[in-house]
Amino acid sequence: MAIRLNNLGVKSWSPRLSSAGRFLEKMVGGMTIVDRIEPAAVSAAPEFSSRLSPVRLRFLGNREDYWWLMIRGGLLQMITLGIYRFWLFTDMRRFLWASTAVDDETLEYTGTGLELLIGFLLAIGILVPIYALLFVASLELGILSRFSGVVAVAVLAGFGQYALYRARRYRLTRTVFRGLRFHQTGSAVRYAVRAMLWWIATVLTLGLASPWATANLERYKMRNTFYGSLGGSFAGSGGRLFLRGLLIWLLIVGPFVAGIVAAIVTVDWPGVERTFEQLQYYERAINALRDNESISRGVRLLAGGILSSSIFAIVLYPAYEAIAMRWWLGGLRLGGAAVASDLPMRRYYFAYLRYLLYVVAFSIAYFAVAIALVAIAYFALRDSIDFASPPFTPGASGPGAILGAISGIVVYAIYILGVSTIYQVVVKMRLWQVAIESILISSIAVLDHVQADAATSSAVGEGLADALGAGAI
Amino acid sequence: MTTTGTGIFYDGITSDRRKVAVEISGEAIEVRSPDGALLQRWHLADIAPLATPSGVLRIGLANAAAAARLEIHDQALAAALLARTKSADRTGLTDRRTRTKVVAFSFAAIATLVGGAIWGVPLVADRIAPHLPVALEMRLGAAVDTRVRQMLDTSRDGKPFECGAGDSPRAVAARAAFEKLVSGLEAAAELPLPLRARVARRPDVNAITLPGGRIYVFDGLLAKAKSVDEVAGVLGHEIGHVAHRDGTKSVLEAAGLSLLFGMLLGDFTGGGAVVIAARTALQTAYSRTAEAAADEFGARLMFKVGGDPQALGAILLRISGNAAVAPHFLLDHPEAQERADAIAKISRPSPTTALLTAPEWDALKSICAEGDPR
Repeated sequence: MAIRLNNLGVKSWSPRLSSAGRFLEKMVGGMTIVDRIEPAAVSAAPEFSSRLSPVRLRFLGNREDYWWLMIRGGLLQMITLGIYRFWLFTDMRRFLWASTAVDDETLEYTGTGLELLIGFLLAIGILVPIYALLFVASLELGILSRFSGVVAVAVLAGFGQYALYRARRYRLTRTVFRGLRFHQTGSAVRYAVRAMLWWIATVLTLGLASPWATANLERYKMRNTFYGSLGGSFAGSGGRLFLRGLLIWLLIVGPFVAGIVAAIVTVDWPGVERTFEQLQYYERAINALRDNESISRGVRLLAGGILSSSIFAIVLYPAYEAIAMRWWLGGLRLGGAAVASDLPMRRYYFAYLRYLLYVVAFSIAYFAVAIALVAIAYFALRDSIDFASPPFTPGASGPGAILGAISGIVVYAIYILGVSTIYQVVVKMRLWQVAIESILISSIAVLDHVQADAATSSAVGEGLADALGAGAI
Repeated sequence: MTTTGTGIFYDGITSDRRKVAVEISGEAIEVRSPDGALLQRWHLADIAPLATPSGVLRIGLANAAAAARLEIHDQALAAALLARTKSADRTGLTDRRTRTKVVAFSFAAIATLVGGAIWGVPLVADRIAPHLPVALEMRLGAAVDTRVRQMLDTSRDGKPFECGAGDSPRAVAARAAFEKLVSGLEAAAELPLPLRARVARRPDVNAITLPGGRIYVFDGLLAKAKSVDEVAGVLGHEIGHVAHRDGTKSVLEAAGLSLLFGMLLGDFTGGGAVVIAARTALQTAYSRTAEAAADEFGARLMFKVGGDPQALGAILLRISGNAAVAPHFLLDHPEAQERADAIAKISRPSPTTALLTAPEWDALKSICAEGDPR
């Protein structure tokens, strides 16, 4: 069998599928292989092959099921102080994967919460010595300690990129489609270095380099992405994304730059220079300059620029997200199969507007209930407890104050959890659905006769990403 | 009961999609191609149902590396198969059990972490701190010193932050008085590292200790002090922090809490507030313990040098008044009355000697009176 498959052009032979491995599997896994039909013979099955027109992906998920999954997950996260998140993420992925149908066949997520927890604990084991080293280094460097914060952020950001790449590998190897796994090759270290260099370029160019950065990183990721033995690639061009996003970039960066220029023109620089000469010391000069009229005018202009930029950024964010998503989807290739997307931008805005509406409604209802509960508690206990004396007066200590502080924190934590649950369903799931339903795959027949070629990977990368706060679905 | 039907089979070696005949026979399920050749035979005990949209049953081998899959769209056959399979259930019982286990495990983990935070972290910090090299704490002190000066040196009048600089006779006398007071206490304290005490130009009635034996006595304290013993009492308390290496300990404790709460717990939405609250409560609790210990050290030190141990309690009560400013559990120092009582408890009446002469005390009080502009 092994020889036959080798002849069919399987690139690298997974040791677990070697004849010895299969024997072991027979013993352990109870898998009894009596015979197999030669793949070439089966490929003749008529109704599944030779589809020439593009195939649209479908989303089969039921939103009510997802609401229930997220609400239950949120409550469990609360009582386990977040530990349940590994199982919630697993449930979310299982749902989203199983709801995504490619050519009448759904994806399948095979990861488990326990894998994520173990990966996370291993990642903590890796990160703790690094944090300690960073701390000692900041002391040893002495004079450089002012910059040690920057160095630490850079090191951890690099680690974050490393983790993201490995987390992607974990997710791909846990994705099964038509009995085969996806997998990812390439080096996470190289990816992290690449991402950091592009990040520097992006900052230096005020975000202008970001389309090329995205395109380059996506090329690296997709070049190393495989479905079975079928390799992926990315055909999106940075220049095209740049042109599509240019207007948005101008609207966001324009007011900011205008504010800076106006501020520079307004400030009385010779006066500032004189102040520095008179007072010699930097801190003292800064203190003295707080009263300078031209500087406060300049600061107001700068603030105005930043404010307009921020408003544009908030209003245009869904538009950019939609443009980038459509561009990204349109660049995906797997073997000869190509993705095209006709994603409508308005559905992004609908999703965010609905989110806004839900959050406002939830906030009103939530705080109405919270205030009512406090009022009921107050009137019920008014006779038995004297609220005008300690421990209920401000500044007093004792069990009442502790109880008050704890209930305040709980009320806040539940509120945030509620808002996040709304976001996950109303925005995240919705946008997933919108993106999936916008996909058209041409030449999908190349997915019909792919060979297996993968081993699974560990969840340490995902754990690192989680510990660094860089995790994502 | 239905035991035969059709399905779609993926063998896990290629992505080929095959229509197959499925038969449940005995303790196994057999998958055959339309021409009757046996493709796969799985024991029912080994198969697991997998996530699919409703209306489709997808099964595979549990814990297998290859991802061979059989899909059954025929509802009757699917129901029959599930009825025969002990491990498989679509009622969600397995999932519920997993969730219960996760919750139970989480409670145990949280109890361990909270216990570790309340008792473990200070214990470990206490044990480790004395063994860390003094040189490391000195470097830490230098780094912290830069930050603290940036924060505290906010005066706009151009006078230096440290008082008593310059060569005028008054400055020299004031410096000599302060050094006499400090060196007397330092000699009696038998510290593991050298002291570096200064008077700082700040209006607050306070004194601070940084890691590495750096002490700043604020001008505001000298102004409010009625006797040299009160200043010496505060210095004794701060020297207690140095002797106990509380600066290093608090860094270790903060790191320990970051590990327990910042990393292991709390990385979930809304958890930030919980984590900050827990850390604040625990850190202030550690701090209250350290402050009480420093008070005791200061009082004993005052005995040794022949000062009045009760003076620290006196100035504490005078500056704080009676108003508590926050709930007890949010205070990083015990309340003033509590501290004064504790100090009084360990004080015995003993002969006191003057720590400074009257002219020296006057010189010290006016150490910040003149400052040479930079």
